Parts: sequence; C-alpha cells; structure tokens
Amino acid sequence: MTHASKTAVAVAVMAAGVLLVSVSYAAGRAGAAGAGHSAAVAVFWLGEAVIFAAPAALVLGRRELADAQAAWLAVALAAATYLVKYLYSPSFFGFPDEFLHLRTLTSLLASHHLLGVNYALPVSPGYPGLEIVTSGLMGLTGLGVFPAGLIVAGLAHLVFTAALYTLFRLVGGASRIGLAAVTVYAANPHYQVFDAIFGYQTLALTFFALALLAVYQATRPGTSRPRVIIFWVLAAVFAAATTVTHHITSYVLLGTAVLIAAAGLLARGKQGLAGPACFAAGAAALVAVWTWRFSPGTVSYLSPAMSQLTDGIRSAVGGQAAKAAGTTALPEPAVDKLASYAVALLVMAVIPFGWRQVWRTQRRDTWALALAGGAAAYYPCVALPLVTADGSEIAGRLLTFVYIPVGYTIAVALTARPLTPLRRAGAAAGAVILLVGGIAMGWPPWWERLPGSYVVDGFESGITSESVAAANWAADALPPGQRIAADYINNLLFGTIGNQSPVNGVAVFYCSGDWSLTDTVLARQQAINYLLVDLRTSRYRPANGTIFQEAGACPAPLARADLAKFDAVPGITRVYDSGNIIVYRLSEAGYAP
Amino acid sequence: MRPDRIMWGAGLVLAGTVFTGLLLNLVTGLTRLSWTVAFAVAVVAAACADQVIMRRDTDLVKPALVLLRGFRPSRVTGGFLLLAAVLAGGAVWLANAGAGWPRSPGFAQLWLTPATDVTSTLGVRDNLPGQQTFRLVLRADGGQVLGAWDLSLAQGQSWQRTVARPAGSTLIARLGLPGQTLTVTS
Repeated sequence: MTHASKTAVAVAVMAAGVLLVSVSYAAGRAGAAGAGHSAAVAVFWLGEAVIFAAPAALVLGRRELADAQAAWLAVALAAATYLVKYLYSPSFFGFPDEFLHLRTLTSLLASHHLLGVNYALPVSPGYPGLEIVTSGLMGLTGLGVFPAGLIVAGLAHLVFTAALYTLFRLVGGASRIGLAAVTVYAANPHYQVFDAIFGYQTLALTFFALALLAVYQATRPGTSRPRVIIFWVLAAVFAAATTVTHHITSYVLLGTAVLIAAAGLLARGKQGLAGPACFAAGAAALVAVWTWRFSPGTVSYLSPAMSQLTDGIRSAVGGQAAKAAGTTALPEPAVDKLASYAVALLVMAVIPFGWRQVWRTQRRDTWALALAGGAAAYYPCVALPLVTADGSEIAGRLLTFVYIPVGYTIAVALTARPLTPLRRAGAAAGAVILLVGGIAMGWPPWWERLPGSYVVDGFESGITSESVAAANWAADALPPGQRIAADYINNLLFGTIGNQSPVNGVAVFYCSGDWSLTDTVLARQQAINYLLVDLRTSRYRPANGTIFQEAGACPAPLARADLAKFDAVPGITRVYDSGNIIVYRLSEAGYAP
Repeated sequence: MRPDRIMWGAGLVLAGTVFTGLLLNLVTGLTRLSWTVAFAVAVVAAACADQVIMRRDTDLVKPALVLLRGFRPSRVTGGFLLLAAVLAGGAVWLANAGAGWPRSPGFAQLWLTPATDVTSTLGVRDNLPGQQTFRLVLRADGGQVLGAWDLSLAQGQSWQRTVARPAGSTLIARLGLPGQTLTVTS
C-alpha cells in the first residue's frame, strides 16, 4: 500500500470517529437518560479515541512517515476536530463566547464601522480582526452570520494546525516529530473546541503561529538574503495581524520572541540574539501603540484577573490556600478528576526526558532550546488552581500556548530511542491518558459533554430558546444599553443578543425575601434599569455551583420567595413574562435615571 | 500548487482582509460595495505581483517542505477518501437532523412596555408548537377591564398593539394559556 493510500485509510478512520461522536451527540439531543446517556457518553469517548488513533498509530508505527503523509494527517486531524466542534452546535452559535463576538459583529454590520460598543465584552471591539474577516466574507459572498463565522473559524483552525506542524517539522527535522508534536498539541484541553469557536483567539492563533514560522524561516542559518527579507516582512505582517486580533495572543507572541532571543543568545551568541530581539522590540511597539490608540480598556479588562493572580501567589507564599469557587457544585465524575490529575503527572514526568534529548542533540539549535525552555511553563500552570480561585480557568487558557513547547518536547522524548514493543505500548497508554485528560479538563465541561440537556446557568447547556427569545425581545423593545441585573446566562444573552448593558456584582438582589434599603441604594448606585428573574434558578442546582458571574453570591438553588418579592415592591413594574423568565422595570421607581 | 504556499496564502488572505478592513473603516466604512471594490483591487494586484515574481525571482523558489515525491494518489486512495467524505457527510447530516428536535415544550411571551407618557405597548408572541388560541385581558389596577382579545397565533407569530395608559393608574395584562397565566404590569 502506498503512503497516499495509507493516509487515505487514516483519514477514513478519523471520519468514522467523527461519525461516532455525531451519533453520541444525536443521542444527547434525543434526551437519552440513565443507561442510554452512559452508552452515548461511551460512544463519544470511542469516537474521540478513533479520531486520535489514526495519527497516533502512524507516529508509533514501525515505518518511516513520508513528509506529505504526516502533513496531510495533521491537517486531517484539524478538520476532524473542527467537525467535532461544529457537530455540537450545527444550526447556530452555541458557545457563550461566540455570542460575545456575535455582538461585536452585529454592531459592525449595522454601523459599517469598527470600534463600536459591546456592553457584554467591552474589550472586544478594540480587537476586531475576527469580525473584519467575517464581515468581509459576508459582504463578498452574501453568506449569513453563522456560515461565514464557521468558515472563518474553520479556516483559521486548519491554517493554525498546518503552521504548527510545519514549525515542529522544521525544528525537529523529522516528519514523525512534527506529527507527534501536533497530535500531543491537539490533545490540549482547548484545542478541539474553545480554540476553534467563533472567538478572537481562534483567528489570532493562526497569525501567531505564522508569525513564529516566518521568524523561524528568517533566522534559519543558510537562508538566502532575499528570502530572509521576505520572511521578516511576513513576520511583521502576521505580528501586526495578531496585535489587531487578540490581546493575550499578542502578549504571548511578544514573550515568545523574548524567549527565542534568549535561547539564541545561549545557542549561538550575539548572532542568535539580534533577529529575534529586533522582532520582540517591534512586537512590543505594535502592542503598545495599538493598546494606547485603539484599545485602552484592555488594561482595566485584564487587571482584575492579574491582581487576583498576584494576590493568590502572595497568599500561597504566605501559606494560605485558594478559596473554592463554588460550594454547591455538582460532583465532578471521578474518572474526569482522575484523568486530569493523570495527564498533569504524565506531562510533568515526560518533559525532563525531552529536555535531556534536546540538550544532547539540539543544544546549538535556538528554536529547539526555546521550545524546550518554554515547556517549563507547564509546571507553574499546573500549580495555578492551587493558588487562585480562578486558577483552573486561567491555567486552561494558558495551556493553549504552553502546549506548543510541551508538544514538541514530548515528541522529542518519544522519538529519542527506537520504539520497542514495550515502549510502544507505554506510549500508546500515555496517548490515551493525554487525550482523556485533555478532554476532561477541556471544553465543554463534563455536565454538557453531550448537547441536549438543560443545566441552569451551565454555559452551553444553560442557553435555551426561552432565554434567547427574551434577549431578542429586549433587542426589539428596549433602547440599547439599558443596565440590567440577571443571572449568568441571561446576563450574557441580554448583553449580546439583547444589546443591553449587563451589570455584575448585584446578586444580592436575589438573596433575600425582602427588598431592603440596601437594595434600593445599590440599585441607585448601579443605575439598574431592569432586573431579570429566571424562575428555573429556584428549581435546579447549577452544575458549577454558581448562578451569577460572581462565585458563591447566593446559595443555590435560589428560594422561590426571594424571586417573587419584586412583584410587591412599589414602583417596580413587571414588563415581560414568558413563564420562566420575568423582566422588571426599575426606572419608574426612581432607582435609575 | 505547493502545500506550504497554500498555508502561507490562506494566512496572508486572512491578514490582508484584516488590514483592508482597517483601511476601509477610515475611508468608506465596511459595506458590501467597499468589500467588492477592495476584493477586485486585491485580485488585480495579486495577479500583477505574481507576474513580476515569476519573471524576476524564479531562482528563489525552493522545493516545498512537504515533498509530494512518492505520494501518488491511486484508485484505492480515492476510494478511501470517498468513504471518508461519506462518513463525515453522514455525521453532518445526523447533527443537522438532530438539531431540529424540540428541546423545550414551548412557551409564550407577553410584554407591556411604556411607549410614551400616556401609552404602552402590549404584545404577545407564540413559541408553542402548532396553532394556539390565547385569551388576553387588559385591566386597570382597580379591576376595570380596558380590553380583551382572543388571539389565534401560529408558532413564531406575534401580536402587538399600543394601549392608552390612564394617568395615575397601573395597567395589568394577563395572558391565559393551557395550565398557565402570564402577567405583566405598566
């Protein structure tokens, strides 16, 4: 059988895995419960295993991989995982962050201009790369918002993966290393879904990877001068595109350039420092100018998370443990918990073998050193959940970037010695742990791994047609930007689809049976125009333990009497009712201007 | 075309679109017409650049990173790729068929929002399956009936009307539907 035929067989196997995942999703949507639901979840895991088995088998196989075979398999893996994301919500955007960018795009389509207002994610209009490309595709083809968004995110996902494969392949010098590194990377918690949604990071990652690849090609010894110039121009173009598209990705690009400069100094002396250092300086200038001129709100957007992190580190150094985020969360399945611990232990254990191999064979290679050095970031990342309450979320987001060097370092460790049957079996077991642990820690969370069930304020599973209809009503019936208090999901939908201004930190309204003077003062201070009650918050426990944006604000589920009190408050009128969702207007009571 | 060039090309198209959008924002705004003109200009510029590069720098073109030597598609290859397409197509069909399955028994929406100082907007939207008949009653806070309507609406249909709001009085609207009454005030 030729390499091409083997590749086609692997692609067919991956497609079979995608079909299995689709079957499990269909069972979830059909309302499978009890043993049926367990069987559907098992089919989901089987589908995922089949998708990843194809590249893993070729990496661990006896025969050498052809260049084209490895490259096309990397792209096929990206396509298969993107299909898994698409199949979860095939008729419209279904992930909360997608709604945030849908708002920025809707404003752009209405005004035909950038840098508008997004009440739910104020920083988003300052990074309009994704919305520009989507609106351009819509303008040229006449496609709707959802298909255009799908195409842009899908193309970005494919190009990102292809660029990563090329970088790994070039640095590692072998197609097996390239495919192994991409497969490990694809098992990171957010690759399959969060980094493929209609979100600004999805597109920025593509520019990020291409910028790095261009810098690699420009600094590669032996490259002709005209090609060096071309690649530096490409590096500048993609660095600028990254800066315009996503804040954190542009900061990571800057940090990576600094790391490469340091590795260049170590590996090749001053000769290895100049190029990456100049690129880092240019990237820093781009970030500074863009933030200062077009997105000054980024600092205030990121500073709460940063101060929480520094406070957490200070407390941890002082011997205090992080506060638990939600005390009434549903219990996480033991298998998921075990898998997430196992993957952390496995990665931490394997990285040193990769370091050893890089030091032995590639210590004069700037990029191999930089990638190996970058893998060290995995250790503090794993410790983050112990340091701060939001540590799990921050660590998960960072792993998108940290898994790039981790993927390379593990791939190098894997290919350091010839694979005996015993080593091959061990590597296969490790691959299973990587995959299961990655999905267990990733998105969607365990309670909504299959679509179709309702979980109050449960991210994707908390979005219902009734909540969406209420948000659509707000968009039609209310002036834009009305300040509204609501639970997490309705806050999100009113802030995005509804084009209203969600207010956080006012959960106290829902926590007692009386409307007190404190509530009146808070409503006036926060200029609350409308207050939304979702009666389902009194019937169900939220999966992650919290109904509101702020963790642990009220015990969940809420008391029905606490939600019914608004009917009796003088001056508060009940302007909307759809059975579960009620909207009250506070303006007439003088609580807001 | 060389596979690595497809990757660079796709990346450049995405990045170029971002920069074009920033430029259009300053000049004309991002309209369908401005995108079409920009696209036409980009196609012409790319064609000219390609001609120049082909004429001057053919020696700069290095072999592709992804070597296609020995990677010859055959009938077997085509057969398996066709199978992959059928399986993936089946997965997409199944997802789209399943996405239409009802997730909730349906609901109705009732609203009463101030329109002017002396009027309010009263509205109903039906999101229940099939054709529904609703009884909508509007009263003043003293209990006096100001209006009553029997509404027959299909799923997705709306009904809306402007109603007078007596000075110093609160309006109360109730919508009766099977097993439930929705209430709004203004």
